[in-house]
Amino acid sequence: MIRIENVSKHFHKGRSVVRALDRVSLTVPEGKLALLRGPSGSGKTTLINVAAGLTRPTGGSLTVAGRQLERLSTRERAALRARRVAVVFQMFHLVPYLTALENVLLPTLAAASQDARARAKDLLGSLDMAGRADHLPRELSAGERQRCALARALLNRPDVILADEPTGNLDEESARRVLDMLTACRDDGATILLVSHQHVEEVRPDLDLRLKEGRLEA
Amino acid sequence: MQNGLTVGRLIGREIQHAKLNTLLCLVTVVIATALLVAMVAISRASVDATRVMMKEMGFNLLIVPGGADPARYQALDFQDADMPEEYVERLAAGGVILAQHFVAKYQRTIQVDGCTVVLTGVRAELVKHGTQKKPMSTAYDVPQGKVFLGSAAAQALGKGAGDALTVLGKPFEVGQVLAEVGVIPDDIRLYAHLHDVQELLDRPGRINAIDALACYCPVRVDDVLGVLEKSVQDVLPDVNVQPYKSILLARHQQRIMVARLQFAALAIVLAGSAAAIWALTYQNVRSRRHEIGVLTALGVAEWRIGALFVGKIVAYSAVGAAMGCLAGYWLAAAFNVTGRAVSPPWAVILGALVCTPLLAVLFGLPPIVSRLVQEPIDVLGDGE
Repeated sequence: MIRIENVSKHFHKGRSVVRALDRVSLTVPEGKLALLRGPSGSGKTTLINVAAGLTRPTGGSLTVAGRQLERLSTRERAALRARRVAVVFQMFHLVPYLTALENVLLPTLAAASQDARARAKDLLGSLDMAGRADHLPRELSAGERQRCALARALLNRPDVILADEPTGNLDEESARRVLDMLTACRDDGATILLVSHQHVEEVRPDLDLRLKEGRLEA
Repeated sequence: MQNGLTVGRLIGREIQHAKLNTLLCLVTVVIATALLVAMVAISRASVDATRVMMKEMGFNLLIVPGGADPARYQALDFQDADMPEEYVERLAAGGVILAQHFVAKYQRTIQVDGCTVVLTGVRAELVKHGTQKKPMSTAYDVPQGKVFLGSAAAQALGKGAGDALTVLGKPFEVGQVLAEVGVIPDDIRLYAHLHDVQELLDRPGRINAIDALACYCPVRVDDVLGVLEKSVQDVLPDVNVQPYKSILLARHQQRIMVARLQFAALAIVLAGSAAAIWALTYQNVRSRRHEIGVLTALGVAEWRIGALFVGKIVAYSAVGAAMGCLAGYWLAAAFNVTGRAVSPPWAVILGALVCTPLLAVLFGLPPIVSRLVQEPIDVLGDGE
């Protein structure tokens, strides 16, 4: 489950204050998929980053995978991401010197699992990437990179998936594959917060939310 | 093959990927270490060579009986004043004396076959107790019954090795003709065993000079003569100490200058090497900050991320230090500044092998730690 209560995030730029998030509250029940939409600059990415514990909110409270984030240290937040919360970034963030398979296996540095290699291959296969497993990120298309990043996020079977514009840079076919996989994860019980500014209704969201200027619209 | 990824595998893959960067880091460490080792090896070799050259200039202190007139000594007019032979043993046994080589002498200017020579009775050189020193090249251990002739004396007397020579009525065999020194009185000396000369001059158990080599005392040049004199007179209060001033001061000044030169060169090389290693290591870590962000976002523990970077630094700096030590020693031997064999500076090599990786890690840690303590998103640069 993801519970966000009155969360604000302000950035200071010189003397001015940018209110990226302004008292946002939402709840995504366990096993549900929430689609969060909004124009560019509305605070969607910031919300994902705050929910992932990648940055601390200015105010408010967040409960993700049963843990209240503001009470966790940096190390504990990292441990939570390692085992229960996965993030899919819009910019993929693959490690350039590792092959696709090795990138998918990166989470094993944080939390080892017995069947990691077999599962990584399965994930790549189910994303139609089996033939690209030994390729470096620079040898992959944007769609392939995103699928690789998604496989990496799913390796440790996370309870919560935070996906930030996972289809933002993809062609239609690649976008469909990524969304299919996320839908399958939801069907397997994962709680998902999917951020997108595109029309991605085919994921059949359980919640459809809109963010505008840092505020959630009713 | 491992089931998951390991830090070691990641280090290997990164090195394989960033070949140029790794090569640059490696070359920097090799050059820095090589310069250090070469500098130390060359400088030590030159210090040793200079020390030997200075030592070959001969004794630098003359110790004479208290009543002797130094001016008459210089005119080779050795007087009757003398002192007990056991003085030389007391000097060698003296605890605080600032000299290490001692030769007891009895010398007198005499006529042999119508030629003026300085009859010089010497006994084998004594070194300060508790020290292991090679004898001075100008200290002669003349067997009893034989004489060694200075080159000018041999020429004037027309004698060579193996010839017979009568000195003050006693027959001797010329054991050796010494190489020309170019200095009077050394080239007109007639060296014999001290006990033979004491017998010839009827002065048993007596000597009238002790040659000594003052060792380095860490005092100002202006103070060195007084300090040496006092150190001798603390043991033998009734003697005069006459320094061979030019030799003594040259040796002292040369040692001070070489020590300063060595310090300055070492400081410059160390500073330059450290700066180069710092710059490369810092740049290497900085260029990989995005990777730190990715790993942090995936929940990888800080110590593992640190190990990933430190591991690479240790790998190239350890290999670079080893190669640098070899290259530095090879350079020192190749330049062969002193014309003598260069011995490996083992302490510096060991120090470089241990300290170079430590130093590189020390330089690399600040940028790593500064990234690790930041919010992961600030390192990734995905904030909105």
